[in-house]
Amino acid sequence: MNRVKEFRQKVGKSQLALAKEIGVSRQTINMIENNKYNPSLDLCINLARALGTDLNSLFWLEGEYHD
Amino acid sequence: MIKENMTDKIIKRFYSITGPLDEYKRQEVDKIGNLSFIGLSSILLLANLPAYYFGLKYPELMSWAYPLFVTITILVAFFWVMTKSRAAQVTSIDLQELDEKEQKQVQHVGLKTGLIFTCFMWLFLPYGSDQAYLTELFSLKVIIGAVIAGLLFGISVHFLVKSRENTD
Repeated sequence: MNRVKEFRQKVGKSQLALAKEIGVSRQTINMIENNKYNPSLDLCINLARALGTDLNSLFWLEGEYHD
Repeated sequence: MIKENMTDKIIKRFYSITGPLDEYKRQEVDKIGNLSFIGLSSILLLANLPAYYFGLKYPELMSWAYPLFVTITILVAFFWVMTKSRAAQVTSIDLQELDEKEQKQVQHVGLKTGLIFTCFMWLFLPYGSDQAYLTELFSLKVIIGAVIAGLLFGISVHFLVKSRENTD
């Protein structure tokens, strides 16, 4: 689970605009938003920067992770 | 954005990928390519044993049966690769995402490939005849045959490309 879609909609960017900004395809953004692909750390950082947030807010969901 | 090298360009051309070859597409293509390589190499290596055995006993039969088997195996692998890459959205076409050069390539792609295929068939078909090449080249039969083949090929490519456009 991640909050990419939520943050993207908050900043008012389309999947295509976000994809172009970070140099990936729209399909990749779509796959990440639908939890069908786990992005690399580099891509996570680029996503967080483009959405004006940090990795914790974007990918760390309270109560979802266990030891 | 990272500049594409020759290997990236070949991969994109082979898998019919438009737009950037990003990490997701690269990963999917690697997975599909590895699986098809494992499958193809295993089948072909194992098939060498019966081919060798039957080749000694029935050389004439094996001279056409084995190449036919190899061709069919590769075609099946192509179909599998196409299906898998389509399912993974690797080959989807997003018209807005394409640069000017790629947009031009996609425009009237059916017509362009149809015309190229027609020319190819027109030049190739006369070889199957006993008559002189030039005589056969301008015969109505060959011209009509080439046009029909080109038309069918062009229409198939057109619908294939259209079906890849903008799918989620």
